[in-house]
Amino acid sequence: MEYLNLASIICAAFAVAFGAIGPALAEGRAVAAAMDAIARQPEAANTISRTLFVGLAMIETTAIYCLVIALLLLFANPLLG
Amino acid sequence: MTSPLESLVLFYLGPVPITLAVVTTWGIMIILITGAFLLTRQLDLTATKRQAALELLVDTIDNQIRETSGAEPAPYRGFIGSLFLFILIANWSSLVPGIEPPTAQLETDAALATLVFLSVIWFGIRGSGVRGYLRSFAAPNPVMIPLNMIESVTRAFSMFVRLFGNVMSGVFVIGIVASLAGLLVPIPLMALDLLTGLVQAYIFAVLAMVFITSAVEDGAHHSKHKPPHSPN
Amino acid sequence: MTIDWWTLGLQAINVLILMWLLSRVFWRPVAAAISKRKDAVKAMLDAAKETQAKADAALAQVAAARDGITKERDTILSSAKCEADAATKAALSEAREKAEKIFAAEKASLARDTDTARIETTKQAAELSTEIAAKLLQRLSTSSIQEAFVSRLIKAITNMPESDRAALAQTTDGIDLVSASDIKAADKAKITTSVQKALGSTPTITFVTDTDLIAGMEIRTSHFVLHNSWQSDLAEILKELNNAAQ
Repeated sequence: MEYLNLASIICAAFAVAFGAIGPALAEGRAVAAAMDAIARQPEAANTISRTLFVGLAMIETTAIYCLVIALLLLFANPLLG
Repeated sequence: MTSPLESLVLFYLGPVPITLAVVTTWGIMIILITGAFLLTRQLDLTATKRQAALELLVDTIDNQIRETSGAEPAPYRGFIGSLFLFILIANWSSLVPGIEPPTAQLETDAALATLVFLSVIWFGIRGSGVRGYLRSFAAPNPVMIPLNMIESVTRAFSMFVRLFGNVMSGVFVIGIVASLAGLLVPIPLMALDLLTGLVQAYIFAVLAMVFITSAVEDGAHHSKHKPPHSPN
Repeated sequence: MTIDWWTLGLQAINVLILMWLLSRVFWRPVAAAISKRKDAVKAMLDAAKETQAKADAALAQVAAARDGITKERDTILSSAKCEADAATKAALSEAREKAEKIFAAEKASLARDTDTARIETTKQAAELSTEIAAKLLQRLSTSSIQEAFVSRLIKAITNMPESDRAALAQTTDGIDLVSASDIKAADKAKITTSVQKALGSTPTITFVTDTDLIAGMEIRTSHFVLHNSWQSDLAEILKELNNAAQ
């Protein structure tokens, strides 16, 4: 029982930590590309920002999935009953 | 610490448990509807400042719908606009002390995602008939049918989890910080929460519009027996 | 993790009701107001455009009318100017012509008057001079002059053409010898012989006195006159003078 709790907590922390790395890098790239595009075509800034926000939300979803997994591990772990 | 996945049941209406989120939603509904009713009582040709602000809001939403879907906004305005307004007010209701936003609860987000899922079907059928809507699953070719069917469920599920995760995490973090240092420290996080709430409301509405549009357009393409467009 | 399906259903119904009510209360009225304003603005713009077009048309009409008036005025002015010029020119030329005519007429009449005056004067002067000469010569009527005239008469008879002299010699009516003063009997005989000698015949010669001759000796028959006197000479000179004056 004790080990299961410990493992759940450690896994939740790892899930959030590693799950945040990928989206962070991806969002950085996306924002950089969007800035570049806006710098090239300032008149298209509206469309680019809208697409950027949608894209960022999509990317962020993976991090949110990790967060939900972590919460499940912490608060609704089926193995802990 | 209470689990963010649990919901607090206030009382039972017969067999129906009434949770805190439902009561908060009722409050938001009352505020929105009375506010809208009071604000739109005197609409005139010559706009007052209040009416100009309302028209600016409607016009902005119309423009967003038009730019996203390329279609006339009139049929979608009520659904998308109400979705946006409700999620926005619900997200920002966390600023009121003692009130937990209903979008931080699984059930509300699940209900919203279900509504979007159903509305995609509704608008797809309305746009191109049952056969046209069913054919839209075969876009770009019949091999994609199972994938498209799974996608239509997963994208609704993804919207659900995204909204829930964002709002709930914001509330959760603010709760943790407030329990550690109650005064002034949570303010930057609350400001961030405001931005997140706005962005999430916007994204939810835009994604709903995108899904509806794709369903309508795919159905329209197939019902006119045009050659299938190339996959993006 | 458990999902409360009751709550899910309630929330879905809540949101649906919210959407429906908001559509009724908020979206449709505001959108209707917007479209109504758009329609009103469009109608006003159309009306304004129509009014503008009308105003433009009226303006163009006015401008055209003004152009027409200006053109008309210009043509009237130019034609009036032309007419005035022509009238001026005509009047000028007429006046000049008239003046020239008057001038010429004046000149001609003046010349004529001068001429006539001159002729008249000359005639008068000639007459006066002949009169003076006659008066002067009357005092010179002496016998020597008488003799000179007789010899001139003889010379004239001899210088006459042969036929005339023959006709004069053959005359039967007799010849009148006219002189200014009474001639003495001796002289009469001498003159008769010399004349008969010159003629080569013996016609009857009658002596007549005529003071008008001033001085001289003339032969007169019924159809022949041989002038040989101051009077005839003066008459001849006067005639020549008058001819010269003409």
